[in-house]
Amino acid sequence: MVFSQGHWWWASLLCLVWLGQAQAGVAITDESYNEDLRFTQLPDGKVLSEFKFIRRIGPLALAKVRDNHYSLLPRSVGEIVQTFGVEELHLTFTQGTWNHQKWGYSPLGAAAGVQLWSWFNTSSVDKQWKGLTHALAGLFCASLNQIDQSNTAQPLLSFLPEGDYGEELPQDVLELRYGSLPHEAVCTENLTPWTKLLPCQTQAGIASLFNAYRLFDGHYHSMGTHIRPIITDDAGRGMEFVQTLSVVLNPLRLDNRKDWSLSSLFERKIASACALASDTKVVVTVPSHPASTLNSPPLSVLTDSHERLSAHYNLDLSTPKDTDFGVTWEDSKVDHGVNRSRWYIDAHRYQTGYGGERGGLAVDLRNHHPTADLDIIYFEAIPWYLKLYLHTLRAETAADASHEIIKDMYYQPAIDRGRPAVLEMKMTLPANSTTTLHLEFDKAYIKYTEHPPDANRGFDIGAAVITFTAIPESPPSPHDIPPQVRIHTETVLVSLPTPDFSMPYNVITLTCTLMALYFGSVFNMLTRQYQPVIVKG
Amino acid sequence: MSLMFSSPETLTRQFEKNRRRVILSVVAVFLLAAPVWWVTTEVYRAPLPIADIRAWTKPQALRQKLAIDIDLHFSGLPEGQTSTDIAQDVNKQLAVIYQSAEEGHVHVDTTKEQASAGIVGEEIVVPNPDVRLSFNVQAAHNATGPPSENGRYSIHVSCQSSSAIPRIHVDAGRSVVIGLPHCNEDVVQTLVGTIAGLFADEQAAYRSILNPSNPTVNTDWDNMRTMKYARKYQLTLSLLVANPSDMIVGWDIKDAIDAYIHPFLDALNDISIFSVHSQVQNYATLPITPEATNKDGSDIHIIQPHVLPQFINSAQWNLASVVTMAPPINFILYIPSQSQKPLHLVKANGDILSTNAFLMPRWGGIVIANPEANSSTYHYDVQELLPFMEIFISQLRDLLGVKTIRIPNAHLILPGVKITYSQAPMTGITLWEHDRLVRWRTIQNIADAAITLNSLATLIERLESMVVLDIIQTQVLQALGSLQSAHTSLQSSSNHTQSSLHARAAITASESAFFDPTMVAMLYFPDEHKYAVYMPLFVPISVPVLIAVLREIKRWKQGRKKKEHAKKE
Repeated sequence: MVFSQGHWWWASLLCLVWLGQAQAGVAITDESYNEDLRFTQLPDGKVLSEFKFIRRIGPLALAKVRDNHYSLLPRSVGEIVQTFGVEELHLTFTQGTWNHQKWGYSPLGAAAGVQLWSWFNTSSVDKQWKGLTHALAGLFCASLNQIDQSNTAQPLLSFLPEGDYGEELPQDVLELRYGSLPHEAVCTENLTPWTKLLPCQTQAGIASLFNAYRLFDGHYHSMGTHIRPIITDDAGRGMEFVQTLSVVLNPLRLDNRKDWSLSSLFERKIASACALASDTKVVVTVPSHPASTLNSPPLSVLTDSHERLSAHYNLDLSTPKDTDFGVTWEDSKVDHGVNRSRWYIDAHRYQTGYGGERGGLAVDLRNHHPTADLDIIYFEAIPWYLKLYLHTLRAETAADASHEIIKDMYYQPAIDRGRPAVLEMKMTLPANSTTTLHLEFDKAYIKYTEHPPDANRGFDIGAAVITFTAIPESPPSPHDIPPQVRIHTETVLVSLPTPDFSMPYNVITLTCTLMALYFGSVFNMLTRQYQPVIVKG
Repeated sequence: MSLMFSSPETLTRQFEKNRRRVILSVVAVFLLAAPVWWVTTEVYRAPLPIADIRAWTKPQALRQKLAIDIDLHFSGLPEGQTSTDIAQDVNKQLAVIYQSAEEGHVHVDTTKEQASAGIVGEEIVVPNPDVRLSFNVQAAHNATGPPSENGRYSIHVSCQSSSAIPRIHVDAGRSVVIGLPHCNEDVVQTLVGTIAGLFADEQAAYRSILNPSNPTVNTDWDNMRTMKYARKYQLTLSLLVANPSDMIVGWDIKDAIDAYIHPFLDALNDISIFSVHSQVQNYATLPITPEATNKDGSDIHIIQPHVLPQFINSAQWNLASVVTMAPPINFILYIPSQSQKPLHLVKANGDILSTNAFLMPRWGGIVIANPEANSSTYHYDVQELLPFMEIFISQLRDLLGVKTIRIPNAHLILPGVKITYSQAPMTGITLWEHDRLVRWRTIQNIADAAITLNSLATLIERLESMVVLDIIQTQVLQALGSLQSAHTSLQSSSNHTQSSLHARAAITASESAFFDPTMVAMLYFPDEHKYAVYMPLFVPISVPVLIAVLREIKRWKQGRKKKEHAKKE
């Protein structure tokens, strides 16, 4: 080899390097990784598991990322953020609908299907948005590339930046894009690439519980990928990369008992703590009831004003491998679960209208607060093939009619195959009342190539998003609640007039036959002679 | 009125005239409409210069000449010898060796005796008649600095060297220094041997480009390692840690890359550009299980050479990039888990490989490191990374096709001469190696562009209902133009930099034409579909028309017969 002989130039290099090292000193790492797992037993006995994988990348590490040197942040994510000028990114894959009435509020609740919104810090946003959706489609094996201009919206109020931007007002320099795919089926093929982004993959830490058979067997499953800028302690710009997964599993289904443990929910136990995590927390929240017993002694137990008991555990490398967190109920009939904090607002959306041409949407917005009127923001992006009639929009309320419900409205009409109709409204919901929004539309007759392969199933209309500022309960909940709370309605399945797909050929055949008949008779008339036959008798 | 009174015979006659007109006009409309129908249903196919493309596949089209200019500088040349004469003699002999190569193997004269002694097949062979180096050796009188362009070299001959044995020193900067105790007739032989030897491997390498199927070419293995040419590569250095709960490993990779890798890549930036990424991945498990064994009293784990192809766990290791289309080159520093330490690669005979590294052809390189486990963390600083970077660079040289310049069989060609080579400077690549790589990539790109265009032409000719857009035509014309310019600039001048640019443009344009998304789309209407759609119209219409035409012809024939009969009678 050439290099075994050429010591002198390496030696000169070493000098350079040594100088460089004196500057850099010992390798400083300003990255941190935490894992957080919360179990909550819901009032109907189901168990909600919320996994959070939080990576905080400090300014030094972020500078290295800009030079394409990755350590804790996965390269694929870093490349996407840099290539497409993404400042903030929120992507969720959800199966099932979060049941607000029964389960209360979850910060990890998301619209069914795929929901993606992102703040860009770049000039050519539309091009970068297209690139982003295509890159994410490749990364997560999803059909995100189908988010194109015709189902991309730019909400004004509903999706404010969630990152820490310091002094500057991010809305002035950044641009937002929002897209959703309500019909996307979330499955193992999306989970696998998502888990590959975790520092310990599924080999250690709380992610070792991921058993795809069990995760996708639940009532609700949502996995999220969130990137946002943060300001670190030393006032430098950093980045936070959070992966979340929440799943609602039902222990009652198997043996009709409310007992649950890791092994009964996931058929797995936590193999060991992830060596890279500086902190691994497990919190079990159960109702404070004498019939319940925690399976393993916690580090600390807190009881809050709602009679909820949360047991805190810390996992590290010394934690025994067979720790099986869970709750045993002495009396299986006990009808207690945790009433999670309600945010007083829930929403329910359904379809009205009849026939293949006219349709309509109705949304019930309920304010359960006994005394206070609550302000909300209602956002809806409706695909262009539903032709909205804005004059049919009306808000009905059972409360005092003197209330003005819609305070402000932003409406962007759709362009065929170009963009969706976007409706965003500031509303005030009167205390303890139900407000119903009505909106009518015509169903467009779309081109036969625009129908999906399962054309007769219908088209999913993405969830409406209701955003509001939470009124803190007293005392303020210990959960880290974002300033804006978002709940999502159901998706709606609309069936459009569906053609008979063999029709083009039928039409051709029928027309051709008519033409042939017509031509044949005219031709015969012209080329045959009709003359009287003289019969000689 | 007249009609009413005309006799049935007149009516019939008139009707027959009309019928003939009707049938004729219907047939005329059909005939006139057919081309319109044909044109309106035709798929768009931009015309391509197929003949020009095919011409590039003929062997004589690819016949290239690579001009090498060599300046000779003499100091202390004895009386009676002029540098111009020597240059002429050298030129003549080199021409014999390199240009009369049509017959195949030509040996350097000085080695004849030894060659007959049974080392046939190891001498310099100049086998390729298609791409030929052509030398222009001339005496230079004024001393100038080292040549600054690819294809121009200088040789300094000192005739009063202080040492007793002749010495040849190949500099890193396009020059050779030859020190001889005295200059007699041997000086020509020494010069010829030096020049012919320095370029012999290069000449042999061209053969395998143009005759890839030739089994006698021994450089095939080298070419199989070398990455296909691309304007941009993505280099990824990955630190894979099998089990971070044993030991969390970090590295100062940014500084190491800046110090060791970037100088090398910068030296190559006129050929390709590189974007360098690095990443750390934990819990990277091997898809193979190393064998536990005992060697010299210590327990070690070994990996046999035959399982190395399965070393890469491509399902688990995130090595691909989602945003770039540039071909990736991967380098992996693998830290095995405590239970598999120390992990060593072994040769086929069971000896431990000292570098503990191996190269995956056209993929990248892998090094296994077994750091001492004293604490739960381990950090590689820049100095510790140096040996790995050395290995990566030598693997990178192989992957990119950088060949070390050596005079083969020097003891036969230049017996008794001490030959030394300058080491690569900080860049890790000498100018000799760089120049050779540029020339080699030029020839290869020309050949590849010709092959790509030819495949494109074949594809388009085969699939007759495939749409060919104007953009394809433009790219093909561009590629052909660049091929032609590359060829001309090689033939007419020794400006290798210019021709390498043309060759690069040719390969880029031809590949973008071949891989254009519109070429891949198979969404077209095949003729069978077209006929199926029109069948319900054409068949019912054409049958009565055809029958009427046939009848009319029959009637017309009968009418003529009758007339003839009438005439005869």
